[in-house]
Amino acid sequence: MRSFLTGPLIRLFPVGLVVLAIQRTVLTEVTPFGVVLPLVLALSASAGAGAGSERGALAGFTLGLMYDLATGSPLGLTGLVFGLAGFVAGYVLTITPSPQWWLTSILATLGAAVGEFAQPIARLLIGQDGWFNDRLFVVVPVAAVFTLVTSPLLVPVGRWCMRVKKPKWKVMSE
Amino acid sequence: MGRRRAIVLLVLTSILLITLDIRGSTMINRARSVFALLVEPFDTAARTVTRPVLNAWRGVMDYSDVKRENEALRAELDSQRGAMIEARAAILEYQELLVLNRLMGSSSFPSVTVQVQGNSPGNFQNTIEINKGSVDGIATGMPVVSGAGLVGKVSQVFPNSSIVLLVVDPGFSIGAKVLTPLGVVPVPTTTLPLRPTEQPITTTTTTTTLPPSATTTTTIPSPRDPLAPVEISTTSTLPASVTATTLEPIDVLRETGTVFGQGAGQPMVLRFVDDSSTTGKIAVGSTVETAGGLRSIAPPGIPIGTVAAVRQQSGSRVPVVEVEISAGDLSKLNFLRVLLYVPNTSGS
Repeated sequence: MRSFLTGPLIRLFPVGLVVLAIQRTVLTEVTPFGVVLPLVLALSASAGAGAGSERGALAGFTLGLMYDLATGSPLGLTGLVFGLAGFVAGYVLTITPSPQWWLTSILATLGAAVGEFAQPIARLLIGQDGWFNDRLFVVVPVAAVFTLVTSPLLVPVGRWCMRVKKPKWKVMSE
Repeated sequence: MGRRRAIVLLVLTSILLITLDIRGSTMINRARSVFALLVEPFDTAARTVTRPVLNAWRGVMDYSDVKRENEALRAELDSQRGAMIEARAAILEYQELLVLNRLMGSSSFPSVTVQVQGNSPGNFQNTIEINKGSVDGIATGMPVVSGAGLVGKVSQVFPNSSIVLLVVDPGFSIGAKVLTPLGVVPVPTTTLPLRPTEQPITTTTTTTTLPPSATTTTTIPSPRDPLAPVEISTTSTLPASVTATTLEPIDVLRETGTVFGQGAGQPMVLRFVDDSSTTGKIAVGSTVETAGGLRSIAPPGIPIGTVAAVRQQSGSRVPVVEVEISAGDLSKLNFLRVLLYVPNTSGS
């Protein structure tokens, strides 16, 4: 369990810093339909889709904690939500051990949508209401589409961070 | 099985951290400060690298909007020149009265001018990041204002940057008072000649009675840069027996409540503490400003906005008042002021 927790963090932490810097600078300026594109969430979900539920949850939790530390949101809140996104996206590996790239992207998209939708729920649980409104119907689809577009790039990054190699089928010769 | 346990451990860790952070842990605050120092070079590098690209993007995408906005702002500026002259005179008089009565106005507090360096990085928080922090004397809870009024309060402080919770965030609330003038105020009006080429502007003038040879030094916002205070020394020498124009007393209704944010693009909502007989007299257009008080995060008199609508609640006589914020579009803030104001909780 120790290697499971500490092993991937060496790669995930520096990658997380870079992604977090992009999130806090470029992506606060480019906001289609007024929605901030969630790159950190997309990476969490993509890591889950590429490396499985448990590792996805760990990646999401770590990236979420870094996000909380940098943005001032309650520590652990985004970690919990991004962890959920990674866990849901990682469900793809229980369907098939070697999914096609498009199936991985779809599950990463689903994970990101669940993560984005779970944020107002998590905030409500700690007493921060006022986020459940019509705007969710814009925010969640835009976040999902962004993840769908970026996941072919982010899934390999997520796999590399989590030290997981892409499974390959081998033809057994007689 | 071991990995399942790890997942459970992550969830429990999250809950524990959330609990500790909400209760206010110094250890977590220290961790945030250290992490902010770690992230800072990455942020700076990202800004430096992407600035030309972003500028080009904005140049292409926002050109027509900026041009239209520029024309609208020019028209608005022309129409507000007269109002500004009137307002400057009023501010000057207000400051004189504060000095004479030994009262503190919001401009009496020291402040730090800051620049916005980033908007909210998420869709579920209305915050901005400013470029100064604890090194410059900024602390959690201090009010942040623009030239137009209250913008928010400092919610997180790092050594060289801070996070400001905007007034529109659902988590923001502050004590506020509504000032509604009752009836028409009879004031003398005079026509002041401005420049020969321009249309004259009708302004109202008031006359104050000062003690003989009263010299007051007041600080008013400069007309060129409303954020930069300018020291102006005025010497008012009046004979003791002068008879000034006497105005009829202005009857102003003051109602105190708490104003809450409702999210970006939504008006703030003012809720009153008790059922007062005068709350029904609040009119659209009335001024809303900070109420101050021992435990308030801001001194009294900072403009928050104006009353946009007054709605009656079913089953209650107390209305809910919608407030349009005076600070305008909070997604386009640039230079702001953090008032180094610490509430006087001791009551002295």
